[in-house]
Amino acid sequence: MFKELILAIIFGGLIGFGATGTFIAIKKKSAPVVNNSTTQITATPTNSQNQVQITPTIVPTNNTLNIFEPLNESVVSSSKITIKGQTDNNAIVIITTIDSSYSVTADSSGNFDTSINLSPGINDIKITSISPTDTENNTELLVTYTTAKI
Amino acid sequence: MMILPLLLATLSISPTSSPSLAPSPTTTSEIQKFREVIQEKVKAKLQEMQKPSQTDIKRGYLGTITKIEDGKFYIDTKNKNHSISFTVDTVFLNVKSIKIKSTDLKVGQEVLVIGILDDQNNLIAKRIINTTPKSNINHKTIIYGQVVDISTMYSLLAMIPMSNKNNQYQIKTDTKNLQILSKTGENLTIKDLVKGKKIIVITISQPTNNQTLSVEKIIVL
Repeated sequence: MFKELILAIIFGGLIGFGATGTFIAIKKKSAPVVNNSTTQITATPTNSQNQVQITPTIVPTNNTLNIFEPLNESVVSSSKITIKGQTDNNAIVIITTIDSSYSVTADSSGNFDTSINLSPGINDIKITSISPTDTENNTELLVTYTTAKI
Repeated sequence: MMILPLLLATLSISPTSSPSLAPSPTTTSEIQKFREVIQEKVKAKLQEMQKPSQTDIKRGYLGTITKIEDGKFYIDTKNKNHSISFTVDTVFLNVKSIKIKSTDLKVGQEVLVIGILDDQNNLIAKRIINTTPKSNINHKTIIYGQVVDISTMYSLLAMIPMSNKNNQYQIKTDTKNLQILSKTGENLTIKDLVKGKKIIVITISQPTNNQTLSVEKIIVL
């Protein structure tokens, strides 16, 4: 009688463990696979109500022409200045003044710089970039060249 | 004056063998004051560092006078309307660079104003120069397109701009001083311009209705 009781407990235990193990295995198999390496959007609670703000990744647009130097409507005391800017990668940049025109090719990051000559007084500088994909971007700067003490 | 609070602060935070010795309320307030002084100094230094340099605050505005007031006038530039202040030190010049008076300024006149921006971004004029209307405008146009026809007999080149393929321009290729260059700046000849080539054309003036361009430079891509 005692022997049968022991056996019943052992069998019962084995069946219980088996059933639990099978259930866990099935659950694991059906769970979605999370691939951390492809996370592109970060969602974090931002306030007390636990509202989530999703900030999408900003992809830089290709159609750009930004001039960093000189500033529009700036005043310089040298007749030779450097135009520095950024545009599409490997784009051709054409710069014209009333007296001359210049061309420069942007590097693989889109950066470019070139020296140009200014005339005394106001200089209307037109800048156009043409990308390898035929995209045109234009901008214009007014730069005053004076040797007078300001 | 500054040493006393510093000493007090140092004494109050120096390690002591008696853990029951707590800083008195007076010492804490001194530390707070000291902190505030430091914070103000740091803030002032940061503001000074962020202040634009003299070159950054010099501005030259080209525009038309719209209104004249006492010691002040307004000009319309391409971008916006600016308020300009002038002082007794401001130099007024006419088109021939001859000194004039502030009372010679007239509404509707085109002027180049050179000055310094104040804290409110208003321009304090140092020199005000009368200019001939539109004399400073760069009329050059850059046209990117493709060669569609070349006539050696008539020294003409036809191109279609990429921006409007329904349009067509003609370029006189025997124009004096016409430069034909490669992308890298090497000199090329008219023979390098062939049908289908992409070119960048820099015109001397804005294209007219007859679609014939006066060109100073052609860049062959």
